[in-house]
Amino acid sequence: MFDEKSLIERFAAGSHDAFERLFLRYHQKVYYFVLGLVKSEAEAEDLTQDIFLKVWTNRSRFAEVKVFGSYLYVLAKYTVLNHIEARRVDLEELDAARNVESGKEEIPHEVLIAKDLRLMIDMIVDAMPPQRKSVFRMSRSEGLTNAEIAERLGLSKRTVENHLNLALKELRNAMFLLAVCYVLLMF
Amino acid sequence: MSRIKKILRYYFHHRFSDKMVERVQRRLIEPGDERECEEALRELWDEIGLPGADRRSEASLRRVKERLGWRRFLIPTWARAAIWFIPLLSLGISIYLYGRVIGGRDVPAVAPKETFAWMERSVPAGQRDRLVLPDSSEIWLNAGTSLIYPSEFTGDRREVYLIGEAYFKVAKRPERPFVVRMRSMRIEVLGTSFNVSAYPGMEKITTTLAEGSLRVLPDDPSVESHVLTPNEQLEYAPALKEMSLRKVVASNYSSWKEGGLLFNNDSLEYILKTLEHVYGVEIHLRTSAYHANRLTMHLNKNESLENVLALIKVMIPAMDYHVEGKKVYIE
Repeated sequence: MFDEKSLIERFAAGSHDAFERLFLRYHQKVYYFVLGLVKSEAEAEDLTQDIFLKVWTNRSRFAEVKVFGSYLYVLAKYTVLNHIEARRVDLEELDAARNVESGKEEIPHEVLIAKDLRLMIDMIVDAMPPQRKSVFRMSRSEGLTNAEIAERLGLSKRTVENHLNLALKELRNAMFLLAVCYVLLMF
Repeated sequence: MSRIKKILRYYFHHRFSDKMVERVQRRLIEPGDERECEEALRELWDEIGLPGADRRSEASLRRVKERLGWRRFLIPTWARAAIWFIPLLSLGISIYLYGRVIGGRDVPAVAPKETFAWMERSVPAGQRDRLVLPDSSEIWLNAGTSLIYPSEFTGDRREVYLIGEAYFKVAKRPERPFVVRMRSMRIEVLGTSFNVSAYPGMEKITTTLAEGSLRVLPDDPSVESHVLTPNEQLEYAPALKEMSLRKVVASNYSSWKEGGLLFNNDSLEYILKTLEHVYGVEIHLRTSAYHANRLTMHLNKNESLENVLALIKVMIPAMDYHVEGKKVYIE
């Protein structure tokens, strides 16, 4: 029932009305995509606006475009990645990497895998609800027994066990196939 | 699945501390796995689907138009909703004048009334109401709805004005079509039962026909009118000039009259917007992960909001929510 092609054509020719309709159609999609990557509602909103402004500025390029979403995706992706890079890139690290012939090859493959696994574990723990996070950390990082944790936090031993079971289950579900040995090694 | 893909997907769908976000972002921009990263991002983009525009989208559009330097008519939102009252005023005036003129003429059968009054019935959040019109048509009004109707139907049409959601059981009068006017469109029937949802904040106006026959006429001349048959539902999004039709069980969409809430394979987006009206709350969706989820739920009369949310969580376990007064936040 809906014809996007003629809408895109009118937009590429400079129609304000067509732009507005495309905006309303795709705004939420872009917003949620950006939000998922930058995690800040204010940043996501600003970046989404920037993306649509770029869409308008580049409207003549859309004359041949058949699927608006695909081109929009490319614009959105690069805008977000550039934004993240601008904020996070460590200029010192970058220079150091440039000085080496091809930086990545110097680092053994296993180390890269280990780094990613570490990141994954830390993410999962970070995203845990507060109580489970405390229980897990006390058990794995501090090495306390379940009884000791129960006493420290004023919980029943059963609750502590449940928390640990759930935490391990989450870790297992999200981990890579070869991860288990590394997990044991990590700690 | 590659490592960066797993990392990206988990990162995308969860919330983290600022430090954690920084770590993941640094990892994201590390060179080496651009291809897998691209695949992961493309998948995440596709999975979002096409969520409908809301107030935030409209506010964003206004900002973008400002930055582009486009002139805009500075009409505040409350006035936008009221704008179609203007024809009402002129209609009222013309009926008043017309009434005076026919007062002196020879009119058989029905004694002509020279004047009549416009009546308004409004229903606050969390309540429902029912009224009977001068022609004995029955109308049920849902939460957050206003209906404007005349104390007498004069002229060649029976016309009422709706903001919100109502179920109409229109008395059959072939010589006097029944017209429901709302923002962006009107509905014309002779005698029939149907539900129409035309809340101001929603992108779409939804018309569901139970019995009889109904015609939807958009105000926009470039959009075609549409005739419905029983158990058909038409969704019209005026800003996008889009119409979509589907077959439904019509009674599901008017079960709110009895206080129950019935959702049959409806999108989470639709369900949350309905909850906003019924319970008078604001729902803030902080993730797009569940937009495409479709749920089927039958809720009892006067179920508490907490129970409804808990039930949704049973069906979508990964969803987290918390309630703060009149606001609900969903991750």
